[in-house]
Amino acid sequence: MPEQESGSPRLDDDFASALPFSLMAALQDGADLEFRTLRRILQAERSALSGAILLLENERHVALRRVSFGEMPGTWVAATPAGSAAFRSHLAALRAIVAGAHAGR
Amino acid sequence: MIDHQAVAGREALAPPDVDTARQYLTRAEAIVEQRERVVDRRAAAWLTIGTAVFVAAYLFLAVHGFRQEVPSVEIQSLLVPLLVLSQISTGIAQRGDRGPRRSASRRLLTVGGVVIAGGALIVFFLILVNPSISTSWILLPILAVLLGYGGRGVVRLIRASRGPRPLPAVRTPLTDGSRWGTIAVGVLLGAVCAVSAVPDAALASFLLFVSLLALLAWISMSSTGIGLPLLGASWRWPHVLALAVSAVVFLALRLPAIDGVAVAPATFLLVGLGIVLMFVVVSMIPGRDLDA
Repeated sequence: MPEQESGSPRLDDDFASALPFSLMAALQDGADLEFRTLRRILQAERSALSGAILLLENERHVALRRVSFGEMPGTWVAATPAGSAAFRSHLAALRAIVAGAHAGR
Repeated sequence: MIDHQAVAGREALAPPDVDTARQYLTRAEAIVEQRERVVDRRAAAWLTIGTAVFVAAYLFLAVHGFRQEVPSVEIQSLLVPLLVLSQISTGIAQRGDRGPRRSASRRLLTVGGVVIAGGALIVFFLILVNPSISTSWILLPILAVLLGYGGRGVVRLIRASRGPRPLPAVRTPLTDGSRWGTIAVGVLLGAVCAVSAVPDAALASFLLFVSLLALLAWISMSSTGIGLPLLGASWRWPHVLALAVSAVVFLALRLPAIDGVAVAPATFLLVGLGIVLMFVVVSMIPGRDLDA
């Protein structure tokens, strides 16, 4: 995934599907969220969320941190700096599309 | 013209139309709001404030206690609820997530806070070892703890309070391990409280030493299923309240000693028993479902 200057509009097809998009939205502002917390936020099935995380991890948009917490292993997910920048650019592109429609009216 | 990054090896998808783009933006805002509802940072903030107050009170009692030759067991016993509190706080902070991470400027503030805390500790020990230094100087470390650590908790609480109201925790009965762990916390605190009732100072010191060793052994198992952080993670407010009440009682029982007033040994015994009973009762109250 190429580095993207933060904030400049650029659509990224890695975020085109609803769940990867929602996942990146939840990880904005440097949030570092545990898998179960993410499931509660996104109301997603375990397997679907795992798939979305794997997809974004392969593209290095997110990084995983596995920590054993008591008897329960936990997986914390955070956006990488490059992933955060790419998502901000994606949001900027979406805003530009909406703004463009307003300007064209 | 908007740049478009396609998935490697595939054609770029058609850009979303205006309505779809708007829906995505609305969705992103809703997700952030939902995150703030799910992730409750208030409990951790309250515990930070409580711990700061307890540490400040401990510093005050320790300095005045040492100067007035209050038996050290009276003061050192306060370390037990302090250590338990810190372990439980760790669990509460870890149970969900860390939320938005600290920016570089906030990290700088944290480093500054650590430096101030280090300085405060040095002042504390100087007062302890040098009788010519006035005990009034203890106000410096106390203020540093209250403003630095407690202030951070207040800032976190204010920030958390600005967001939407968090969703209530999913309740579930405590597991057998957590229930026995909760009772064990009560037994430990109750026993340490009752140690002050032992008339023989040497025996009281020995019993406190054994209790501290037991607690340190427990802390060394903090990453296991019987560790205190896991207990903290599975506790809800009634359990935390029981710990807070115990901590306040511990402090309140030591205050008269500073003025040279001896508390009746039976009081320590009865309060110790009360603490055990309180934790037995709260162990039956449902905790937080960590798998929800």
